Amino acid sequence: MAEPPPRRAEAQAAFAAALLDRSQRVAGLVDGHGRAAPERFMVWRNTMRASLADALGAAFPATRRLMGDDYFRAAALHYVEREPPRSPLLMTYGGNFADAIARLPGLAPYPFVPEVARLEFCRLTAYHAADAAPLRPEDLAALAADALPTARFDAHPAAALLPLPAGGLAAWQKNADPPADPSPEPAALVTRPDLDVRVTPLSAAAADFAAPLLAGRPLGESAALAENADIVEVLSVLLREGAFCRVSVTSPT
Amino acid sequence: MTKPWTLTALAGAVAAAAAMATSPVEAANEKCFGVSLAGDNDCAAGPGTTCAGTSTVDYQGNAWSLVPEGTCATTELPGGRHGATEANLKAEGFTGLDRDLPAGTATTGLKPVPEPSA
Repeated sequence: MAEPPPRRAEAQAAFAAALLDRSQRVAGLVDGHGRAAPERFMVWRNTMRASLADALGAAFPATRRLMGDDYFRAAALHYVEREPPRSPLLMTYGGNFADAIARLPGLAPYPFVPEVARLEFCRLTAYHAADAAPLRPEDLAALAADALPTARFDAHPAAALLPLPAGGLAAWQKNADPPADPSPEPAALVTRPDLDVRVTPLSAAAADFAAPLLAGRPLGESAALAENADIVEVLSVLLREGAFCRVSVTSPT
Repeated sequence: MTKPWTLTALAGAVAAAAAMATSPVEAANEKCFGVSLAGDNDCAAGPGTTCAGTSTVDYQGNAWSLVPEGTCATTELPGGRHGATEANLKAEGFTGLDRDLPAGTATTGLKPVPEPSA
């Protein structure tokens, strides 16, 4: 496709800039009778801002509940202006929203709120991750004992381990729909073995063991580093929740 | 500081973990076609997805709900209707049921079923 002539490119840049910055105007917009129509552009701009803010509200319901509708709306519009979507897939919008609200001075005393947003986006990402059959426990049990230290797992496409040291897990559970009993654990395992996203609380020690396994480090090395973890318990949780989809071993030389 | 694991200990731990986890959560639910009430069908959640709640006809044959495994075909529905699991439909090469569709729906790939009595 040919490049648009420079004047059109400039006009498009000005149009895009004015969509995000309400202090800017777009010159040359006319209605069907050739009359200047700046108000129509404002309606369109408002619709764009409102629909993106609505999308954030739908993606972060617990965060919205914690912040209150008005504060959340203001934060969402602030985000829309600074970080407009980079993809036409609306479901991927909001990936940096947790970081953005972590920078709000008003939320500084509530560090668990950005953590709730992080967890909500992680769940959304898990929803839309590729389908894959989880690793079956019997496939792991079938491996030769002398090869086990070299066993490496492929994380399931939907699986993620999220550190939530400020209590974000409990805050999310209390504000989820339906609410769940709050867990004091500082990490969460997010998985989607089938069609439902699951959130499993993990202790710090359990997360220290689960993280290298999910990153593809060998079982022997990961177990050796996991000083305080109950590796039987953590492994069984990872298998049960569908955190892995494959295991492979290096044959001993 | 690392805590070396002997082969035997690691093998024991893995065997114990695998035994504890023998009920994988997969397939606890299955997609069941033709049992949703209008506007009550499931869909992956989130903005940008538009199908949740879009079924417009009760028991719509090409809309699905998540139901506990094994209950799909036995769920009692009015008019002698039955649901069909995604797995069963797929095995027969169908993507839904040819009944209770909004007017004008294309029926390609939908399984022919008897017209419900009500």
